[in-house]
Amino acid sequence: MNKKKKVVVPIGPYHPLLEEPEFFALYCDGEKVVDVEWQAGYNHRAIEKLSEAKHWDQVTFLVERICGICSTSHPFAYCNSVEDLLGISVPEKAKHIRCVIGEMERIHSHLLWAGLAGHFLGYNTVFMWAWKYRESLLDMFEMITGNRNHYAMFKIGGVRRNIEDEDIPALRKVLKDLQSKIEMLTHAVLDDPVLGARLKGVGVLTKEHIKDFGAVGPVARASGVDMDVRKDDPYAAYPMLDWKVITTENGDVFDKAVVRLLECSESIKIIEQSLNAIEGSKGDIENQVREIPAGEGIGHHEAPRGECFHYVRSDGANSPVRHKIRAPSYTNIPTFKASCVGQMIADVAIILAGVDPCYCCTERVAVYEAGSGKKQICDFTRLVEMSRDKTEKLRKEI
Amino acid sequence: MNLQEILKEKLGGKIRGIKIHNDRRIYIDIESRDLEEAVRIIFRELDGRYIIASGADNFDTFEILYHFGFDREGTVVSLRVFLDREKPEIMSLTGIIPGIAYIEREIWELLGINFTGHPGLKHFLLRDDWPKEHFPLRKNIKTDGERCE
Amino acid sequence: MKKPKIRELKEAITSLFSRPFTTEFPFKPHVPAKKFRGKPEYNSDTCVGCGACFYVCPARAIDMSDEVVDGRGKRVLVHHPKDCLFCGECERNCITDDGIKLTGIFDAAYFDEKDVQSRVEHNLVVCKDCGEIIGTEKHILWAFKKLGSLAFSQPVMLSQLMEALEIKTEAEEKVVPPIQRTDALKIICPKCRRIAFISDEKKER
Repeated sequence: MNKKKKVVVPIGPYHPLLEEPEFFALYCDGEKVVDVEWQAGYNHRAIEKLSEAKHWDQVTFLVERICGICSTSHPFAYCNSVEDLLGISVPEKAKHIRCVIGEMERIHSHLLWAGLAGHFLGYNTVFMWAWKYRESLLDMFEMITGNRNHYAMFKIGGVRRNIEDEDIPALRKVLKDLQSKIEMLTHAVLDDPVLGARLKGVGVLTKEHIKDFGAVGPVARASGVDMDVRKDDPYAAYPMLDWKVITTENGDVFDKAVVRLLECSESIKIIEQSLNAIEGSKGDIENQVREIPAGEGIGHHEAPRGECFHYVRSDGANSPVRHKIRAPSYTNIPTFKASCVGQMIADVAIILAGVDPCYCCTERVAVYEAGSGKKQICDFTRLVEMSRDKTEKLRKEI
Repeated sequence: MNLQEILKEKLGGKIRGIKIHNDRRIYIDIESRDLEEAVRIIFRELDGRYIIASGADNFDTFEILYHFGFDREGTVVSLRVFLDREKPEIMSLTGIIPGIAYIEREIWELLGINFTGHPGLKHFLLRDDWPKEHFPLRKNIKTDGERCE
Repeated sequence: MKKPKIRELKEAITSLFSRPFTTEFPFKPHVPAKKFRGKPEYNSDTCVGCGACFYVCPARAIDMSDEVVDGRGKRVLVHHPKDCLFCGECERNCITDDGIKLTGIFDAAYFDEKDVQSRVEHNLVVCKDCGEIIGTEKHILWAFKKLGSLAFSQPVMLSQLMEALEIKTEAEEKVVPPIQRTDALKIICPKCRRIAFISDEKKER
């Protein structure tokens, strides 16, 4: 292929399988990717501006609806930031309830990701089974909080609802079943040679890349960077519980999958310890907050995808003067510039999914040669097909 | 030496004001001409982690806060620069932190602050035919919680 | 190709021979959990029309409209499911704990929005001097019950109680301007009552 001619593969913006639309343009030289450009904004809802018109307590509901999967992470970080502004702490029972909800959300988010990754690779059974196990967790959410998705549990100074003692046995049973299923999934991933051939060495991110882009979460931990907000800047009940941070060394997509699945097991450990603390406790669930004086506060929370960061500023009135929200995917998605370059097109689908971006990937793949003006359009299923064809080919060889 | 003392020593005369909110949150005011050197010290020498940059509109000035995380101490250090209201402009930091390119594009299009030396200042979140000189996050654009004027 | 391990085979065989995991809704009804947050509905017996739900709603899904015609007032509170977040703040802040509650209704799809709206109407008590709205009749009676014997010192509450007992009092009479101290026991708003108490001289009516 002539070196001057580069092929541009735009990926975007809508796809019904994932959550939000975005747009990528891949510059390809033959089968290899040379450069990636990210264009966002298809789902811009002006939430930072809307925050300035809502009361402090109403903002909790607004930020909950930034994302459907990590719908607890944003209220958690926001409540942390206002509590940092006020300098107050939360009652102990409320700390444990916050941890339970946060960790249950982590498990359901990682299971969702495991299903999607399996789908991209052609393992539809993994997709069906992972989402089947996730259903029992969503039913538990409905039993405790009243809804499968937007839980409305967080409040400045505490939590809105209690976890009743009568609900705890059912929750414990579900977690016990889930523990064995997640272990089965983890070992299946670690042992399978086709998955190893597909995912090992693909989409590698080094520690320098992580630092340059400010990547966070499992993406960073898979490259050996020991970073977890729950251990570094402890909040809620995390310093009182016994759990560990999972890191691996290689930084490829295989390691990212391993980190996420092992984190699920750690989350189950955390939830069990918190439930033991909640059961039978008669403490308050809320520290009443009557007004917010002038000042500024920063709060962050380890969401399933990384560090979710909120900055609020107050001038003593009923609404925030400035509310800055940074979701973890904001700094994780630019790492494509580093991880996709030099990789094959067939691997792009799984590298994109490896970062677990909170968005919905693609609508059309338009492959055209710069300079010739010819346009050949194929849809997202073609990109996934290319990924699955490669898996099939590898399976026959092994 | 703890982190506060290290910062005071390394940044020295660049510090115009320092606010210790609690032992985990530090806010340092600096002049915009000292920004590049201060960021180099914090990001490269002291190995801070780049988190994000927030722009804000105080009615008489603009303000940008650069947030850095020091994970071993669990502290967030924020560098604050004030910019002129009439011609808000500051140099881009993409030479030091490659990943900061996107938030600078966002601050440019939402607040109208110019970043000199940025490799490609174009629309990031808003559509490409957005009216010029209409910056949504500025305080002269009001919102009632349902729509903006 | 490596053979799948026993643990996966066991799961596969169990899945093969068990019922499909998908629920059979809508052919079988779905019963949501006990704490499920469904569509809010007003209870016209217990709602007092204070408007707390209207002020608190994060999505502004509740409309409160007051209309005063000829000294008689009516307040209408309407809840719109199309804007509702199902957050439960209206139920949590309701002063009677029973005025608006979240039911278990999870489908609020409609062709005509009036089919799914929940609506309640109240009579308003209006100042006989300036026409300002004081509150709803039921809200004043609710406050009366809470205050017990202390309520007898407040003329508006007392007059509401008399009206509920259908006893005619001179509070029903209109105020002839300018307002004076002898009008202090009529149904007037706090601003007018302040003026009535501080105006000492007998003015010409």
